[in-house]
Amino acid sequence: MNDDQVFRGVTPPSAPDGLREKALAAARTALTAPSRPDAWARLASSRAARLAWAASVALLAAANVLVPRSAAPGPAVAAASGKPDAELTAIARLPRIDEHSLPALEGGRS
Amino acid sequence: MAGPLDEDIPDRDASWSEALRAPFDALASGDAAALGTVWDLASRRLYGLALWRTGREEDARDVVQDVFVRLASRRGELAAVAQPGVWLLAVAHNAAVDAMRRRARRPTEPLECAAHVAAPGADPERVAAAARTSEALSQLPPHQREAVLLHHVAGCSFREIGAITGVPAFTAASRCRLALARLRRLLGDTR
Repeated sequence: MNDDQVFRGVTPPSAPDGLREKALAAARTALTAPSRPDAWARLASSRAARLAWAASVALLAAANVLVPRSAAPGPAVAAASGKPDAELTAIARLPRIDEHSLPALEGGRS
Repeated sequence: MAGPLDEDIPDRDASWSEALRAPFDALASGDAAALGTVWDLASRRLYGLALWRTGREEDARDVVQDVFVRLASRRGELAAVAQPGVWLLAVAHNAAVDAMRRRARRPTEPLECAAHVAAPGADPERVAAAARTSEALSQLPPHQREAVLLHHVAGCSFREIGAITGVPAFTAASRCRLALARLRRLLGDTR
């Protein structure tokens, strides 16, 4: 069976009666309706939005000038103590790569 | 693209998309009468796409109406559309996808099987064939049905199908090939 035989003698149905009038009426309504302005156009045409925009920019600029900067940034992490903890050192010590450890076959000491 | 449905769809030819150029330009200038011309040229393809994609006549009617509302609402960009037919089918595809998402949010509604194809005339053999083909088409995934319709009914190339549905041309061709292979299997025993 080739492609021709699959669809031979059949066809998709036409649009139902009444849909033409309904669709075209809705389209005519949309055609005569004023196009909805985008967000930037609404912002430019709104006095309140322009004032809010200007106030927020002025506030940001004033804050940038008036708020003092701190003298130096605080340390991000607490400084480590000068002497490492003995237990942590023992945990971190890897016997296999420790050149001073003895082989396990010679008594199991490491 | 020539095909088996040429004799059944009188307005099916490669120039239908270019024929939409004049009414698109008229719509861009606000001529409401051009809507009727667009309907005459494209309604069958748009309704077919909506029906095959959504699988429901009710959704297909809503999709077609939505397409014409979007067409009117976006009249400002119509003059710059390079391929009016592809643009219109892409709008229909998007509207159909939106309709299917809306339907998915209403899971309690029963799903009814639409008649995807019809037989012209009252020949009992053709009517029975149309029923079998509709049943087979209903077993395909919507995106495969859509690819078959766009290629074999609307006469779109795989590249155009990709542009309409938002997939690569290779994917569009693959969907079409898989759909036809399955249709042949489903119809092989009865046709």
